[in-house]
Amino acid sequence: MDETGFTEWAVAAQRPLLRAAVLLTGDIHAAEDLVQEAMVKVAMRWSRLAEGSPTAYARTIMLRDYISGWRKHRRHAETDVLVPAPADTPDWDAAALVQQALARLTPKQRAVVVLRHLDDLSVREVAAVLRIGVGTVKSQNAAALERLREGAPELRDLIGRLS
Amino acid sequence: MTSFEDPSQLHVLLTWATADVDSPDLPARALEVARRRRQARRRALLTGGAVGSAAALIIVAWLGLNLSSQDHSQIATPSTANTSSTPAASHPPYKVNRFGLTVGPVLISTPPSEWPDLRAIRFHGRRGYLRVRTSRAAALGGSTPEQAVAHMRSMCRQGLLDDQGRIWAKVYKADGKTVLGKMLAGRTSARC
Repeated sequence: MDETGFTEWAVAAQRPLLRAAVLLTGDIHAAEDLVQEAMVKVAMRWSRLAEGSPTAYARTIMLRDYISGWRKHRRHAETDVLVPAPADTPDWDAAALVQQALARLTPKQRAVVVLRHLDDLSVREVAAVLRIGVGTVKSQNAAALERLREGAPELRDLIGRLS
Repeated sequence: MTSFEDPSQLHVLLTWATADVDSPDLPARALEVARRRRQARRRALLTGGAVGSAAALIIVAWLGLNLSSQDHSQIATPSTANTSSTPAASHPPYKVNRFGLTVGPVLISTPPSEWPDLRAIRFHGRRGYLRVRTSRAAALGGSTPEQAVAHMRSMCRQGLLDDQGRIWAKVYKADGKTVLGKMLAGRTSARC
């Protein structure tokens, strides 16, 4: 295995993957677990993935692990609710607000929001990653935005502060 | 205007909320775990799948060893932890938590003398820890029939073996002393 090539890719991909994972799980430790497992699987197949798109592969693994992990632990879901944001986040309260807003979404809605609005994937690409229909992506996305709009009006203030 | 009429606003918000998220040692950890898994696969092929033996299964269940997709979860440790120096070839770097206990995965390729003090697990949606050496000693019992019987009785007294042959393991907080509860660790033909 070309460990140098893998390391170069992993160093570059680590932050984008970790950002998505933190938004999905709301927990930095769980996020690290998700990303690490995805990277391990990429490393195991590096000779085949190096010429392709390892980041897309890692993202797919991560999202599927997240959804299946949630299904496995859904009976404890009420104790999983998010977050502390990382302690060194500059504006902890505001970051926590975002996490709490995302916590109002179902795991699949959260996955759609992260893929569509953080990773900027197209509806088709999101559908492929999550193995759901294009129509489902659209409806989940619309429902998620509606829920954020209705249930997390505080985000509007945050956007105002950022823009 | 409502918050998300312009999707780019949400992108900005999500990006900003995770601006400081970083874990620079993730690539090295992932590489190390991948190496271990490859070694374990090679070893399993060479030894004809010794892991399949009943004794190994009990120990694996007891320790919560998991060679499938879950063993990565044991690497993540509290952000306050420091990295300890470890032998390069036998296991990924262990973390030392604020109570001075090493926390990390228990790989089948790591000799018992190098196992960490604690292994992190998910327990009722929270993080809990198994005391690795205590669990191993409990799983192994004794080397003679008398010791094994005494060991079984001791486990019954502690509530770690029940009348249905279920083996229970205590789950601790990060201090390795405060008991959070018990988790089902395996089954045996022995009964209390």
